[in-house]
Amino acid sequence: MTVLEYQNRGGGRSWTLNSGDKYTELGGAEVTCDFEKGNYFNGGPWRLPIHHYAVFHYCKKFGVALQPFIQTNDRAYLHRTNHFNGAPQRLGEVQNDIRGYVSELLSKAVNKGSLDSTVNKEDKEKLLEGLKGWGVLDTNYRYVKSHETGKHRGYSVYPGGGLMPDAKPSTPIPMDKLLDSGMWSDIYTNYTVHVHQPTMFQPVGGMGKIGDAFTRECREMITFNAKVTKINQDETGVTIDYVDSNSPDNEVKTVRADWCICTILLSILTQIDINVSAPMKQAMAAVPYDSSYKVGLEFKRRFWEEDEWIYGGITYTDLPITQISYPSQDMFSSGSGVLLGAYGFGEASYKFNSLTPKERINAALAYGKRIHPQYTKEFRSGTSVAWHRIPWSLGCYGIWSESSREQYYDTLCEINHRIVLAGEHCSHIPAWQEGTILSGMDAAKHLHQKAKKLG
Amino acid sequence: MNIVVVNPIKPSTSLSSGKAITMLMVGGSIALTMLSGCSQYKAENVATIANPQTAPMLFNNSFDNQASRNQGAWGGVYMSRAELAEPTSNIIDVRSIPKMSDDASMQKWLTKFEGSTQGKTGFFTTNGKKLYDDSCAGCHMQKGEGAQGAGYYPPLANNSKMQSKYYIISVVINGLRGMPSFHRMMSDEQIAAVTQYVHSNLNNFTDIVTTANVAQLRHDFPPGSDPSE
Repeated sequence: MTVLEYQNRGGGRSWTLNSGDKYTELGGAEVTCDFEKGNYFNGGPWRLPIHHYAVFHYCKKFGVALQPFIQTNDRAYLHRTNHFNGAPQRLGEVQNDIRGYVSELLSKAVNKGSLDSTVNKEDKEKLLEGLKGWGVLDTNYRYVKSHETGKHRGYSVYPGGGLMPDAKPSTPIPMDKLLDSGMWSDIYTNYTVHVHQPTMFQPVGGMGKIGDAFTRECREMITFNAKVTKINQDETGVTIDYVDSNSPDNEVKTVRADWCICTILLSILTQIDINVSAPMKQAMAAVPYDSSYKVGLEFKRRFWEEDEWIYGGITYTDLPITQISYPSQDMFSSGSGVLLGAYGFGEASYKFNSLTPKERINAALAYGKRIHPQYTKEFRSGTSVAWHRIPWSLGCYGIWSESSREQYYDTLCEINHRIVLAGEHCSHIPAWQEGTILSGMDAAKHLHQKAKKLG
Repeated sequence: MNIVVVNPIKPSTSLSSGKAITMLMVGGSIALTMLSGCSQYKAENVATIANPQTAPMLFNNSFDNQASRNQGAWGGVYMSRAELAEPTSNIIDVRSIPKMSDDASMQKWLTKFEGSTQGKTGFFTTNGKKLYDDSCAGCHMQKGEGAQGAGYYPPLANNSKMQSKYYIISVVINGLRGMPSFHRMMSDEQIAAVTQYVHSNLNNFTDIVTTANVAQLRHDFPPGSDPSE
């Protein structure tokens, strides 16, 4: 088994930028990571959903230490530029208020008899009881500030001890303001989706630890700095031409094997001389690569924890930075910390791609300070990854639509004589490492079956 | 021993035992707590964090927009009853941040990310150069020179393929191999403008690109993205 790797490291897009790292992006700009020692930034994948069994299997097998990744933190914010005068609102409060108002309205409908054709008398009573408890409604089935709502959405004066002041419940957001803000959509877009459900995990020390572990386990098989220039199969095997990634004009080397599992991203593979069937070539050309960007911002102190009592989790905003994620590690420590200061897709992403590395940081700071004014004083250094500017990926991940899957997916994943493709682009879990691993396992399985049949 | 004053304005834990006051603690650990959540009140932090400022006046039924941030951070319990009766202050100096439209340091970004003062992201301009700079330039580079890595992005400047405006329009609408479609991100007018820029400004071709040219090639396109992250 020989593994040809374009880069001087394994792991691909599962990539952590550590203090002192730098790389050159397309266009020639150098991106540096000047964090204090110990701080890091995951430019690619950064969280592992609980049902990504294959990833966890290998983490366990290869001894990659994991720790909880906090996706949902009730004290993180939801933010809308033109609502609440730009003041962020805490997720848990928004969530409680939505539950409260929906329960109030539904119980009104039930009490009015509007649901009599769907709910019988017995269920009606149970439904009302549930709504009252779930929505924290008063005896008149209304969602209004009370000691009870305080127990759920929190207090303006928290219960204390001794002669400390009496507890006071916090004030629910008025329903019209809440609906108008559109924050409800964050709950189902970013929190209740199955890939974000707790408990999520992250490798201790950065996602790159997974790639490092695979690299260590397979070290003897890997040839680094190998840029594949041609993949040619014949009746008895596959011949691969490759050159040194750093000096592509030097001599062409070749390697030959019985089979080839090709994990090169389609954004690049479509530009390589490869003799697979015409339908497979069409399938390879039918997968565009999405745009995405991330900006990591290092701050001198952990003001989100110290000032605002936010420990982990993510703030979602309608600003072009889309989100701010707080570190799930090193909580309560003094000194610096790194925020994911911007991460998104779509139009804003294309705009971030076209900025210089320095401008990306400045834009993330300019918008992020609308949510955390401390940015201005506490900023220390920053770094970024704009996936369309990464020389070895030319994009973030393969985009599939229902129709392209129907037309091309099976063809892309089938063994073509002696070549089979693998990677997140050959999975139903695009962009996630789980998709990559499952695709690899499936490719290996089918290849094994075919080889066995041929004897 | 000094008695530790639990005071959010100046948290302190100095437990020097110089004085001859004796306290008898019964039953468990000494609960003289440093209130780390209240560090914002440390005098050292004043440059970032508010000097206690008066929150906006609350009128009947008005909603205090800053309450969520303030209360979730310290919840008032650490203040005395007397202090609570005084006007509340914001834990973060929100006044240090001017309105987006008044913030000189924001102007460059408000142009780049037009719509962001309204909380919108997207391509809103119909200026061909700006559309190019905001989308195509990410890969094909500022002057249309393209780029070469493990694979390449073709140059759009001085490229004979750009002679056909219909070719450019078609690629923008449909994407091409690894390049995503802009079908849903740009209107006919915008695609015409960016096509004109590539056709004429990055190359010296002289056809006029119209909205009708784009409409002619636009078709119902299947949904082109998975909301993966």
